[in-house]
Amino acid sequence: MVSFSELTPAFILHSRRYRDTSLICDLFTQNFGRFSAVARGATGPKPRFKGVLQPFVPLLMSYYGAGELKSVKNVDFFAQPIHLTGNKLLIGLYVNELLNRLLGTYDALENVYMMYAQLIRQLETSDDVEPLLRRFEFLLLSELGYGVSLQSEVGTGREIVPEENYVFDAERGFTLASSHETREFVCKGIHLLAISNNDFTQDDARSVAKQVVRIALQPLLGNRPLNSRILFSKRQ
Amino acid sequence: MNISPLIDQLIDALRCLPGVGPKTAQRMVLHILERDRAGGTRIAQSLTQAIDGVGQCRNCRILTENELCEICASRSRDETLLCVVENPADVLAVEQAGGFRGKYFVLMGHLSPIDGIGPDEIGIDQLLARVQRDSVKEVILATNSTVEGEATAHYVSEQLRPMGVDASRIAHGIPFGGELEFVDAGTLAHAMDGRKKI
Repeated sequence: MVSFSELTPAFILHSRRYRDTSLICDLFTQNFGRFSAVARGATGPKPRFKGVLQPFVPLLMSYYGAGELKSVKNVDFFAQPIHLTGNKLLIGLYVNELLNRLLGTYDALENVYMMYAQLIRQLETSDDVEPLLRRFEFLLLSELGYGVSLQSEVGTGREIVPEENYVFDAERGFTLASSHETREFVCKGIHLLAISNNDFTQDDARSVAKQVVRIALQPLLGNRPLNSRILFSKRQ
Repeated sequence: MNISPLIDQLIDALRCLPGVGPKTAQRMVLHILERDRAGGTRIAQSLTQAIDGVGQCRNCRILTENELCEICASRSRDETLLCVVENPADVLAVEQAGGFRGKYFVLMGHLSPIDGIGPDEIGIDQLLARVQRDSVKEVILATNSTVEGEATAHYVSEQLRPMGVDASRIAHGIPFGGELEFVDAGTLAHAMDGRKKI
């Protein structure tokens, strides 16, 4: 069992000023999941851990303190810093907000951590980030126990047929759309199968994936909207 | 130990200042009451006057007691060159560095979705309106070199693009007089990315 006093991999999801020169960092760590820690003396004219405590930097961190809120003991670079710019930076902030909202504290989710580290690294170099983001969202949902089955109907268990139309319910899953469907979001089986095969070449499949994720996340997020999503929509 | 409720009240009040803990606050209070009552009165008066009188500049949102701050009111400054910063302290920092002859806009923060701070909270509409009104030619985005500062700079530059206004970002990297050996990896990586031809 790894202890808090050892240097272990971590990412900063968000930090805010605390007292004069300290920061409270919301962390996502490989071994302990998400939690917050105070980094004393991290800001001001002579900051400790200068230029290190930023989101998207793979870090090694150690902590002390017995309470819910830990204190940062030491910080080091784990790997080369990831430099996100432009839209990719906003996507990164969206993912961080999503994790901050969805992950419980001290719930070690090593797979999610690995996926996150990989996603951030891929964001930096990839030109087409939408499929990466969607894959991450689907995997995140399934790791949290809210996986979306894209290959079979709920209830009947019948396989999704490319030519049929389906409707999606966050709590249940996909069902065959009836001929007098009133729900706004109806999608084609062919797109669901494409998404489940990680094929995002068609724009329609992308749009379906986006809406499915949005509907699936809704009950987990509750009434409070994601601010980074609002920020995105304001840009258009 | 309770000496007097008024003294306790004052000690408590002073603790709202940055860098002032209970011990320092107590020293300050005892000093004023024992040795410098006139100084104490002056602090009290200036504080009241400043709190009542100082507001935000209509134009750039920096703190001032006038409708327009001195920089905005100045005729010798170039109003087509606008420097966007996060805080009033940043204006002072750039001013002290010297060399900048344009005007400023203070956002009073940065975009931070997790904290619920969006474009409306940092006055982006006001900034865009000003750029239009003053026919600004170049906007220098001098937000902090943090993830949120970068996101803010990116967002503002996107909003400026359709207006045909040049947006530039201040350089970041090796500090002046700095030695590579002692620069942290993050800064050095930025400096390599942001290299320029000589």
